[in-house]
Amino acid sequence: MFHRKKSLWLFLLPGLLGLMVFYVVPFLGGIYFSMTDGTISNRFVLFDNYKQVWGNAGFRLGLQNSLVLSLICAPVIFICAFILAVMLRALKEKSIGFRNVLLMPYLVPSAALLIVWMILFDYGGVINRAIVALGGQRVLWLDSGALRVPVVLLYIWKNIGFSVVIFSAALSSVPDALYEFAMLEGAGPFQRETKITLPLILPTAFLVFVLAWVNAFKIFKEVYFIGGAYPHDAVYTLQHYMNNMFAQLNYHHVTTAAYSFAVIVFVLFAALYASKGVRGLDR
Amino acid sequence: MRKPLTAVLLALLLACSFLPAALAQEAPASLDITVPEEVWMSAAAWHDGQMVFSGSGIWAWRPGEDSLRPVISPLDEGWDSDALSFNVLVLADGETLYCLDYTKGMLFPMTLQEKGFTLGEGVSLDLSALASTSRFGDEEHSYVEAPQQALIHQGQLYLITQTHGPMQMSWSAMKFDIKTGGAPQKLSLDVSVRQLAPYKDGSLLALTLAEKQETAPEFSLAVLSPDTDSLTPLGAAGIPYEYEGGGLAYDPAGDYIYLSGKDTIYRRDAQGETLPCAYITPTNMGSGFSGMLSLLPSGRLLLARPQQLALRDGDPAGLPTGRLTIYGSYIDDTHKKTIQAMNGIPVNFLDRQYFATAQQLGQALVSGEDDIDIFFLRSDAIDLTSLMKKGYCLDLTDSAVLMAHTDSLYPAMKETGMLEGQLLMVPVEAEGQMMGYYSKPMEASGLTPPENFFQLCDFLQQWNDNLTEQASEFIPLQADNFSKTLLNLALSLFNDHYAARGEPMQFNDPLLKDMLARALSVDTRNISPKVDWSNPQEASAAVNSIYNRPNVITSHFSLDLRSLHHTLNRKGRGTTMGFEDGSTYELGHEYALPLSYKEGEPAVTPLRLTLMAINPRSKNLDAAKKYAETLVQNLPDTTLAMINPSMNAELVNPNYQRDLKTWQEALQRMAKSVETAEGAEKTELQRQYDESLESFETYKDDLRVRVSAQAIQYYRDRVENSYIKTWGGMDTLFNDEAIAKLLNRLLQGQMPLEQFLKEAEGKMRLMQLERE
Repeated sequence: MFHRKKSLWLFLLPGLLGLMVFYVVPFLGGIYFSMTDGTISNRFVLFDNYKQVWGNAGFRLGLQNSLVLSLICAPVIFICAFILAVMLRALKEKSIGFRNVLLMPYLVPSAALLIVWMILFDYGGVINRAIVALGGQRVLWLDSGALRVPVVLLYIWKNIGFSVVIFSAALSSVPDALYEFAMLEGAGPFQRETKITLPLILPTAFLVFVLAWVNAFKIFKEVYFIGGAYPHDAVYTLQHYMNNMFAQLNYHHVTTAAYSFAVIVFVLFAALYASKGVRGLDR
Repeated sequence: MRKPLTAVLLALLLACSFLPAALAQEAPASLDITVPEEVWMSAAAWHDGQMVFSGSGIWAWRPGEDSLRPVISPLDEGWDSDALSFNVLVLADGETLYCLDYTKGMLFPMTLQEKGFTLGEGVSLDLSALASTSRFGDEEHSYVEAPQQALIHQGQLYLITQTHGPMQMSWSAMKFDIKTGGAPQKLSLDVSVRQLAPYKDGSLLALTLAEKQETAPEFSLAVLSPDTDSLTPLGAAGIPYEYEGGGLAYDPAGDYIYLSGKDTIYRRDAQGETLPCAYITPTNMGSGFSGMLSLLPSGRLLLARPQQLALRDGDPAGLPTGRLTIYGSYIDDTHKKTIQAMNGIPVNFLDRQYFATAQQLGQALVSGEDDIDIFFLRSDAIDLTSLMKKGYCLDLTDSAVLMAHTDSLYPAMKETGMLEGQLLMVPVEAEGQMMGYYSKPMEASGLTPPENFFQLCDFLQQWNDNLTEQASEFIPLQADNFSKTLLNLALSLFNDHYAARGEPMQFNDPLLKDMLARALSVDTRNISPKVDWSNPQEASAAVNSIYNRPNVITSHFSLDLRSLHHTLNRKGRGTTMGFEDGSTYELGHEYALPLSYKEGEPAVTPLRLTLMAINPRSKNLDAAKKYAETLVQNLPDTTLAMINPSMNAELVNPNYQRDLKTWQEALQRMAKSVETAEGAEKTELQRQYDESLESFETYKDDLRVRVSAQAIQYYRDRVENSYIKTWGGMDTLFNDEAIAKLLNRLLQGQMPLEQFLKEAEGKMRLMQLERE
């Protein structure tokens, strides 16, 4: 079609131009910049920065923590969002209100949510009072390695609504007849969801997982607002490293770390995407 | 024979034809003369380009002279103090000089002589419009405001006044007939006139300011008709609004209007186009809207304003190219001297710009947005190392002047500005502060000044236990929260010790744990302020009562050489603390309190450096380098001695005789006032005079030396155990909000000391990991 109708390119040009100027060129420019020495004369140093960054213990710790946080958050969001979406489907029209409520934390700025969260998890906060009431010891949630717990909970609470909305949209496309037939055949709820729903919405499920995982990999501001530039080393993320490098004028290290992260994500998702199911070909 | 003679004549002719040009080149392109601070009240351009100044007496200047010449002082016999106040304004109308005594409301024609003047018959003016009052404590004082400008034109004295109302200042213009005097005729103008100057056809040129609420104020020009007292607008002045400046002059030969601003003189042509025509050195007087701009017979411009008399060519074509922009510093005497040596190149100080981080500054340097050529940074305020490493500072190693200056400094100071053998930043100033104490309250307490951190804790404990009632008028330590201050002090003293040795501190050190534990164990309940925050009024009164009590131990003993000189002299009564209710308290002399972190170790003094660097992307690299070189050559000796270890001799006061004379004259003026006063006023003036005389007798010998060798030696002893505070050291971590939160947790008992040390150590380890 593109060979036959050359005018199509003309219509695509503004969009392509924008894509080039705002995405492709900066992306390629960034690759070049990650191979310079970061001084104002920008001397080309090839892979020196990659060696330095990967050799830096701070980078490796940040990467490791980001990976751990994402591996905790993404599956939890995925599973909880799927269960919630299935439950909401049962409510049919009445589900709209609940869906909106679930989506609300996603729409509220993190800084506002954090204030509530810090009050809840403060040393004298509601959570610690509950723990004491149950006979336990107070926990320094906000100023120790235990910060990981409120951060993960906050992240899940904030982002689950968005995944539920995507799942709900996908679930609505599954024909009811399939469930009726399965029920007649004696399939229970678990079997219906795992044998019918999940295979049919696998591409969407993949998208939800990818988004949840990539976003969880970027957990930063929640920790930064509470723990500052140098929080407890259990919650020091890759973005802390990048942020601190930026403040120290090590822009080349920021870029290098960013491209290293991009390559890791790309490789992982390429591996996942290699599965035919997630591409929807089985449908 | 004829041919050689003709050749010689031709050669002579040729030489003569070049002579005017050569002579013209000899005249300096620009000339700056310092006007002493005590001089400035007014200036008047008289005949042949002479200037007459009034201030503390009358001063004069003729073209060709390089300083102002004192004509008469109010203390001289020729000054009739019955007829004339100390503060007068001088005015000129062509060949006639006038003297306006605005305090007494008299205008006199004045004949100036080489050493003195004679006054003609004066006229009385009703200047009640200038009367004002001010409140000092419960007393209300009446005084007469000096007019902003006084101008005599065609037999009329024009005054522009600024009066301070309860909410705002208001400007007004009035005129008097100088023959009859009497009441003024107020000019009912619908705009605010700021300056007047003679204009064509007998009219006056007015600089007006429309103060619009929604936009920045805008200057305009108008013609004031003396007959109708009405303004005819000429259009926008075309100059930026600046608080300083305001000189206005008209050149009938070229039909040009000249206007002076803060650092530029502008020329407006008949077509209304305004261009910069001369640059002037900015002043640091915050002088307001003042200045006297006049044209010399040679066509050159003469600007007189506080601190400065500047002679310039008023030709836009002759302006020097380039402009230097400086970030991180402000105009002072060192910069002024430097600017004057820069052959008229304008220098702009980015005094309203602030870059909080190296990243922000780096962006500004590279983008060229603010055209920064030279920047000054404090070593502990910003990440100097990153800026140097990333190439944001020009390599100055090839400058012999700058290298010689840097080589002469303390090695640690020199190293701060160097990277891999390259000189990238030039140290120009050092400052330091330490703890101190006041002698009288310390003696009254009967306690010994502490020497280390543990002794300080004991000191506070003893005060809390035994002296709370006995010495309730004092606060033992300058602190809002004693425990918090002690914790912070423990951390910083411990860090200072390691920083001086060039080693990073460790939080998991048993001694640090002991220090923090001791800080936490000090019972400060009796000395801590008891404020009931539930009652705002009582809380406010309680807080005020706390701040009205003098501190025994302070944190602001300055290591500045001038301060050290005065502090170590320990002459006179020492420090007197004044309170709002007018009462005073004698604190005695301030002593340094060098605290070490533990017994047997010397106290460490952190120093801060100010360094100068040049932006490698500057468009005026040569001028910037020349400026930097000139600046280090003009650094005052009191500043240099703090960074140069070889300057150990006392620093004498070059103006000793002048300063002594000024002080003596002030005393004589006081004595005269005492003589003429009566009753209670005389008693009060006599008391003030006696105090001043005692002060003079005590300190007059100190005037000769600005910094004693003893003060320099004291400073050197402190520097022996010091380190340069830099950004990125432990202070960065201490200033981090997260550490402050940890400290609060520790203080509130929410976190055991062991956990605090573990969490803090973790943060420090993260910093180190990033920097590996």
